[in-house]
Amino acid sequence: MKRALLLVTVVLTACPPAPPAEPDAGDAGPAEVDAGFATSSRAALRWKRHRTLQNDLTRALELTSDEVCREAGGRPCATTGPVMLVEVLESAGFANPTAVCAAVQGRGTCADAPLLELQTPKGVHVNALGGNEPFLGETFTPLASPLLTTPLSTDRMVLSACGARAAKDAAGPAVVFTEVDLAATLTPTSPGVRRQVERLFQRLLARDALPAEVDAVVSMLEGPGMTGREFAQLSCFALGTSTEFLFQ
Amino acid sequence: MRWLLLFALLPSVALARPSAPALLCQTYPTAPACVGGQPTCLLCHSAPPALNLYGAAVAGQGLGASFDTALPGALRAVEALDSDEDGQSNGDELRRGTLPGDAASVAAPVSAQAGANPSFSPGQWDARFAFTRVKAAFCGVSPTYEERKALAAATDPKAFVHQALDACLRSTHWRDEALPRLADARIKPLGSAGTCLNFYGNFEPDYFLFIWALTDGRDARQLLRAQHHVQRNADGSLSPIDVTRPILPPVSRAGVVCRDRYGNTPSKVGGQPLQVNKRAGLLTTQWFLWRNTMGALMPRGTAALAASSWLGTEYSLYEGLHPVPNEPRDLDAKNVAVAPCNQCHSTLDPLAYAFSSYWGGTGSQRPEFTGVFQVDRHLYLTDLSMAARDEWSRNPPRAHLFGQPLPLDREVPQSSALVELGKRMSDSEPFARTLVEMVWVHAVGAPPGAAEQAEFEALWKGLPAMGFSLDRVLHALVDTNALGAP
Amino acid sequence: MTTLSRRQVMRSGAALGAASLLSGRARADSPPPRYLFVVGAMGGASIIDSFLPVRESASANGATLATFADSLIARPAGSNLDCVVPLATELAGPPAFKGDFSQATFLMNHGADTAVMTVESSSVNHLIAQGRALTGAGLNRGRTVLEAAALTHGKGLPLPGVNMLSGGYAAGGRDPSLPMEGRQVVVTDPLTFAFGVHGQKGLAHQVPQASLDRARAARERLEAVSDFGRTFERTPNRVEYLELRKRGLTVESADLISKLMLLSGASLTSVGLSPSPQLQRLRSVFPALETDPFEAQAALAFLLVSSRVSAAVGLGVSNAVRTVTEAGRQLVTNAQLGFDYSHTNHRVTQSSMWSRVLRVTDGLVRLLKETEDTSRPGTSLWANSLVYVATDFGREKHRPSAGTLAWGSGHHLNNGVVLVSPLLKGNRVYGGVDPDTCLTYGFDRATGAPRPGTVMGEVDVYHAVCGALGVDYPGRVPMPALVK
Repeated sequence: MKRALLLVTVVLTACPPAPPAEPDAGDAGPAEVDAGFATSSRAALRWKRHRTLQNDLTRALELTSDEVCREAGGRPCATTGPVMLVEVLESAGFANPTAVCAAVQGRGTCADAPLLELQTPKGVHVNALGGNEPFLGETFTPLASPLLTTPLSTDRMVLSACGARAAKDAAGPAVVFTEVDLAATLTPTSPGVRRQVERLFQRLLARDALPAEVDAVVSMLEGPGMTGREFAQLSCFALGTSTEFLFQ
Repeated sequence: MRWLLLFALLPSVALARPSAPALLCQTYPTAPACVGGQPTCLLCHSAPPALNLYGAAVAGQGLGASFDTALPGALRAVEALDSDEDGQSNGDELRRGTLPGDAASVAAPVSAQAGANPSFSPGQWDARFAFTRVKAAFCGVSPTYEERKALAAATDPKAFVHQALDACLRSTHWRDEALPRLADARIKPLGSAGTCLNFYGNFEPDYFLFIWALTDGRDARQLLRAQHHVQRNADGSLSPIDVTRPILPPVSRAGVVCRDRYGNTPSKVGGQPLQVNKRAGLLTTQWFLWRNTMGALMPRGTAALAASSWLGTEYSLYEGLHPVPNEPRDLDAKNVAVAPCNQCHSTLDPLAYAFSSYWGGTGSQRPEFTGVFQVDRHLYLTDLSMAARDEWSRNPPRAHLFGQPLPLDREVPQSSALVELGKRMSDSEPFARTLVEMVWVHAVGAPPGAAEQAEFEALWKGLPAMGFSLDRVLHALVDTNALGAP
Repeated sequence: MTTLSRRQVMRSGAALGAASLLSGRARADSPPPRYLFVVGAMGGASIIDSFLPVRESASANGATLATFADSLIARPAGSNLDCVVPLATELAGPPAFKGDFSQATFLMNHGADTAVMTVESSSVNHLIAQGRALTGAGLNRGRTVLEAAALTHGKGLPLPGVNMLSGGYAAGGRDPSLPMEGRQVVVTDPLTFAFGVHGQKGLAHQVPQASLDRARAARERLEAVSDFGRTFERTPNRVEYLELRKRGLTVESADLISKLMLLSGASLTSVGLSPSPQLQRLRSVFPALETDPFEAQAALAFLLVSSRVSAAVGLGVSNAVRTVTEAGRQLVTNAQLGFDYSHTNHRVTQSSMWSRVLRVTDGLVRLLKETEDTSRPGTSLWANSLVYVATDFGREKHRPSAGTLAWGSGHHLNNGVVLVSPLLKGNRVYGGVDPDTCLTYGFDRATGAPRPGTVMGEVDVYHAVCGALGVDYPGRVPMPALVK
């Protein structure tokens, strides 16, 4: 209880502000706080955990929850659902849980049979994304804060969702990436590029973009050619993995 | 070097004093550690009885036999010192709620800069910031662009946020996903044991009661007081079950026949035995008692989990100790009366007595007895020596909460010590504080910080005036700067 | 990865001996990496049911204590440790349990490195006891042995500490000042963990890595100019996330997704991924790794250390019942609630679960012995490893009726732990057991001499583990009797 109270590290006070960002620098650090710009004294922001992350991606990109992210073999990255009977048998070590289930239950299949009506987080990245699976995984509390692998799991989830949307839009009809030619090679000045970024700000961050923010995203087109589809996926990725998207 | 000197100069072991937390709180009544709770022994001890740097400084003032009278003066005498050398004086740390003997525990405000900010209002309640957090925490999804536009256009942005909260509190996300996750650590389900495939006790009704008590403006004290079970209806709603009817073990659900992996029907257990006047909400469910009491005469684990779940105190970390004189009696001969075990068990064992008349796991012979109240249960536990059984019968141990006695089971035939415990627990300040902290951490994303203590305290102290309604607490939480100020 | 021949292994032992003669200054200049494996024996693994058994004939109260008939206790040639033979005749169900790995086999393979250390826990609450088994009940600012070892030996490694344990073993320590390097990465599924150590490899919609790098750079620029980034520029948990993100790129660049992948099959190769090059070798040691999480954990633990990814790894048995079908019979391989199924049937549970723990530990140690430590050519990984079989507490010592072989046991503070390492003076029991009570007693920390009437605490186990690994902290008590 009280042990968790106010345990704020002081590392920040020891860290001098990073130098101003160079527009062309690929690894620009946080900007020096501008004189006259009001900053927050909050000790913590609210980490957007797996469920809200999944929901936000689903809605912003108009995907079904199944389309957001799957790993090899169709394993969900992070989703939620009832505990299925076959999952219980699988966790008990049955090599062929479907057959065992069918034999015991006298059913053709157990794939549609929930054992518990209670919802539970499921998926490869649930833990790293701040969820806990209590019923079969026996984890009763989620991580208090992100793991070293959390940013990578987040990158996968968002890149996958953005890629799924870009692929669907490329196949047409486009729903989200409507402003650029997904088949063309783009430059920063290609038609629709800035407008597309502005639309993404509205979808993912629920606000209008500042010109400098659009500049920052569009800057990824500087250099070797990038296709419209790639830019669509990666501009979506840049916004969807920004701390503004992940912390509230 | 400083460590070496201290350890060389001071006795490595000093007696832990049960009276010390109360004396400290008399000296610092407004310290966060003292408001609605009691400080952990780790304030002065590294691992009782060994002292930490602060405790050593206090002890260095010379306490001796006159400990109780000398302690307040000693505390004042070292107030201006910075025992753990973390840059903050002992007195300041106590007032801010950090540990003066632990350099890692320090409240370091994040430096902020004043000025203009077109997007956020740092330090002030900001409707957009609050709206975003409310939607994410209680609806499980962030606001859309259009919703934010609507907020910006609202004539009363705060009312707009509260309307959003109302909608979220009715959502399936809050009821079926977020609340169950807050219950997990309190219910501790085991998919391998507590489902209809393998009943030792079914944990689903525990979740249903948890959700029911914390929604629709109900009195949250029902968590520890309800004398009925809660079921989920076909439309997904929850409702109390007729008090005369137990939950029967299901024979099938959603097309699944409740057979174990060998094809057997594990139907003996899984009902919820209902002795109406012996029920105390989540303290007496079949699952809770099976999972935690098992075959123990002294359900210490059960009591410890109840205390951590509902009072926010971890006895094992020397939190919230209220030693009872002449305890622990160690009736089951577990050697808990010797130091240092007695320091926690003088509080834990008297709490555990309240659970001792309820059957935990009862083995394969009488599985349906799991959770049943039986006033002379100790006579059936063969692990207990005959002498101990006689002593228990002759002089039944009396349960205590916060150092205060509870009635013996035999003194309240229409109730039980545990039912009375549930009432007192749920009326207590630690319960209110723990309940509010649970949802605070969920909504705000972190435990209350130094600057948030006043808001936190106002919230949990206001719980009785809000009819112990979690919904009302959450509306009040939305108005705080802790939630709404960037 | 180089596999050592038997001759090379022998030489590496000699090399280790020579290394130990190096001056303190030389060792301080380049502290040798050491590896810790905590094997969690969830539920209460009783030492008097493994390497410290009591003969019924030697006890005045043998019939009513958890003693064994002489025929059930063995001592392999050259061993100073006793063990219990597999209790095959007692394992008939229902349910039937599997427990065919012999404790004697473990001692024959690793007895020279195996030390039994008596201990008395300070709690019989599972979660609390599990936590204290790793923290020494409050030593070293509340850091677990895994955290302490990761901090000392994981410098420069991508994931210094990895914890695959559950319950109180998974909780981590209580030191909020623990540096980021010491924090454990929690792994819930060893089979799929590798997916999470790369930002995109294996996804259905991958982009060229250079393009992803450009997007990440654009993200940095965006963070710098956005009002959100500027407003919360100093908010601690956002700053920490940015640091994690930076470190994550180092993890990604190590291509661990290829090294740590325990899955195989067409679904993997179809997305451009491949199993760990070690997978076939791992399967030969852990044949059920695809279906048994404990075996998968052991396989991943080996990969994490042998691939220079981690220095401290936790693995262990779980609460969940697991079964396997052999010759048409369904056998329990992991009892419900792990060792705590002893409440229902003490002897069968202890026998079966010790068999499980020792079989997997044996496989892990054999792999470490056969594998060269790439940070010290010519030396096996095992030369600098320590396995700590951690458990919650012991079990009650008495039987409810004389001579019975089937009874349930409650929790008991008194117990002992198994430590396996060439860094310890093995093939020895530190402390002892009173045959008339089955209670263990302590030993002199300097000489190792038994000291009946005393007990060791969780702190002593912490001191021993950290002493062997060269992990320092204020208040550390040397254990020269035990540590080489």
